[in-house]
Amino acid sequence: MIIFLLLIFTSDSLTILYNEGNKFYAQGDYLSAIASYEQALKFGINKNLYYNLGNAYFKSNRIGKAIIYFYRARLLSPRDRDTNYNLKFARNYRADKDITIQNPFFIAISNLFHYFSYRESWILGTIVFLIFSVFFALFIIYRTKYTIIISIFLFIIFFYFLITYLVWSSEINRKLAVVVVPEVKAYSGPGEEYKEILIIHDGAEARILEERNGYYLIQLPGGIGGWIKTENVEPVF
Amino acid sequence: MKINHKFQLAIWLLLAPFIIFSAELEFTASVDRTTVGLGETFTLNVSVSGENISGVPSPKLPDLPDFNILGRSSSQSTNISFINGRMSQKTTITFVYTLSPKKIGKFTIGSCKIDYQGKTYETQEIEIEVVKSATQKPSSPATPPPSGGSLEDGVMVIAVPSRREVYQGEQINVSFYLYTRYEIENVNLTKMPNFSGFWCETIYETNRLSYHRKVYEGKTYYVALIKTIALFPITSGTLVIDPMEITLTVIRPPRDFFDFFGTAQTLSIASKSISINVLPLPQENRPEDFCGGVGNFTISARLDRDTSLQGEPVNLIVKIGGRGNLRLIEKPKLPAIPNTRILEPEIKDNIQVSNDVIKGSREFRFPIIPQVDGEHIIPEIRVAYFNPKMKNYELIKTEKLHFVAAGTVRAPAVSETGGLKVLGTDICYIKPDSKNLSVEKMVPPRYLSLIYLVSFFIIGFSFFYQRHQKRLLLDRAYARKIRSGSVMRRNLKEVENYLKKNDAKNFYSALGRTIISYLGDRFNIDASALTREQLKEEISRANIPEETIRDLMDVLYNCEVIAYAPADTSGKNLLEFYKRARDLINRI
Repeated sequence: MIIFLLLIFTSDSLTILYNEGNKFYAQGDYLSAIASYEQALKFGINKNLYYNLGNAYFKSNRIGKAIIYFYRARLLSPRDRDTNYNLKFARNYRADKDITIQNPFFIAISNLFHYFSYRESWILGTIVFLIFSVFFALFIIYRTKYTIIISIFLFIIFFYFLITYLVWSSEINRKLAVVVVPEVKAYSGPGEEYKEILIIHDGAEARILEERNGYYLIQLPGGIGGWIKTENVEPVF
Repeated sequence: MKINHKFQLAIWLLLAPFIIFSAELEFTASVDRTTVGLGETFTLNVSVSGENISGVPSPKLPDLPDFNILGRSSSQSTNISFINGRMSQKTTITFVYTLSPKKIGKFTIGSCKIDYQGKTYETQEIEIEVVKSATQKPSSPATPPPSGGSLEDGVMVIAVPSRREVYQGEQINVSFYLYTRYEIENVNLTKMPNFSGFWCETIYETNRLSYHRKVYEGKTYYVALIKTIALFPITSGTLVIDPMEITLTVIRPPRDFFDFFGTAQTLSIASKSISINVLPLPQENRPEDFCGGVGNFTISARLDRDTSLQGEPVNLIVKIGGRGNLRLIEKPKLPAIPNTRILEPEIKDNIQVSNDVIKGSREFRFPIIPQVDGEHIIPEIRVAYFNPKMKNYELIKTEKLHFVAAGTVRAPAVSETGGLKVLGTDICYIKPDSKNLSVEKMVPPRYLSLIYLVSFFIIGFSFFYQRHQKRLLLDRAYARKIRSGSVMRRNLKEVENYLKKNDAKNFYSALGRTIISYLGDRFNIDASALTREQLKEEISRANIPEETIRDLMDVLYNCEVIAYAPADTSGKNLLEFYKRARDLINRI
């Protein structure tokens, strides 16, 4: 009966299951918390839900799953400190660490274009472009100095949102996937009969290049890669 | 998990000895060689190292009955290293003893001892083998001195101090001369004076005796300088310089024909003790910054770098140079430098001898670790010394220095001050419960693309509007054409008024004017001044069907005829004619 009612009010059931998951998490029963959160996800997505689910996965030692959910939470709320911290923490916790040392200048630029979320950048970009078009139209008709200055300024803001949007879309379209099992073997071809070439651990991030016969051809950040079974990795977006 | 704990415990047990070891002193003794010739010297190095050992006492040497202690000195070095952002400091003090053996054989240097913070540390014993000196020629067996004359009168060692009365810390030179009337060989220094109460520095030491003639107490001697030593008294009062002992072989000239080669005899001679009167430094007017220096000094200070990144130490190098008891100068008292940590200095001496005067410099290298970012100013450093010539204290000081710190390490500061300890890190806690969790969307709303259409429409419209406004200004024909419609509509209203009043004459006349003015506006001609035929020509240039033109001409003709030649026309005809005219205008 209760479940029936829950199905009717999706937003309510999302909230109830989310709070139930929080209760389990507080008790240290992370597996039950994961079950509640996963159930809640069927009713809709939410940044806090993604974040808490990532935490529950992390606490039950499933780093790959945790990283996936922190990534998803970050897509919805890129300015949330906890999400960014936990994503970084989980990534540092992995067995296969990124050895690449990032340039601080590059990190600053990357942070600048991750300030607004995918959705925000699209909506704000559109609104700014509308205001820009009004001012630009006024400039074309009246040819005053102020209108062109405001137009250029608005266009720069619009351009910022455009880049932010493109950065997010490229991240989504990159087909980033995360290994979600403790250890997985990569083969030189799509099948177990091929030569084993790599052992990849939980939480390793890779790009999916191709899918064939239930195998993904993945590429790790260093450029190396191999074929692994589709159930062992999960695409982030 | 249990296995993990055990594993961690095992690692701790493995590491434990090293950790305990590093917290204590390291105390070692070594010699520069284990086989020594008789009459040669060797050095015994006793070094103490550890963290923060500034108050360590001098080690107690074992009894060395078989060796002479010729000199002692000490040096200090500090080694600072950063590992994972934590600083570790290691200071090593080395005490160097110069020893010479007294006899041939195998001897053992017992263990040196040091008491530090309630613990006694001991070094290992060292075995020394003393052999016959490689440079020493086998001496002929000792024979009793011939009864003729005293050999001791003919050979002697005399110690000559440069002065008998000095201030504490002032330099005096003591020269040891060998006086001889005979031919001698195999000169060996067997005992150097102890020089207790002095810091001594060798100024001159002969490798090869060079003699000159000198008359002493009425006899002619050959005199050679053996050694000159600079002494700096450490304490005041009457200090005694012990005798120096020498063994040598005297070759006496042959006394008769059969004593062809003469006789050779080995004997040991010693100088006389000298007493030196050491005056204490005056107590009155002694400045607080007095550093123990006696002589004539200058001071300079510099920093090895201007900027400190990530909490790296900046070295402040204070250099005191000049003449005097450099090695007895204590580290200068640094003024307080706020927000920094100053570590124990590393001391480096550079001592030279010129014209029998000890000169050089003593460098104190203070590592300064900034605790906060920003500019740090090192105030002037003041040092006072005693000038024995002027018999007063003099003050010298350095210039102000400054450096800039950025990115200072905060983690060690936190762990060192107070009780805050970082035990570990974890992920941030989950987000709180919610009363109503909203369903969010990952993908942006695509329908907003319509706004872009609107925007482009606005910009496009503005382009057309701008072009239109420009033509209205510049193109008269265009302006007339655009306005023709509204003018015509106004005129037609007048016509309609006449139609309602059924005023046929005015109706036709107004309608005619309206059509002609409209045509004039449309085709930018002065229509009212033209005849119908001319008008027809003008209009036919425009792309208008023949039939329409003909119709138009007919209407105009009717208007003219009826307006000026009154005829009987019914209201129904008027309405029909009006409709026909409007239809015509619309077609143009």
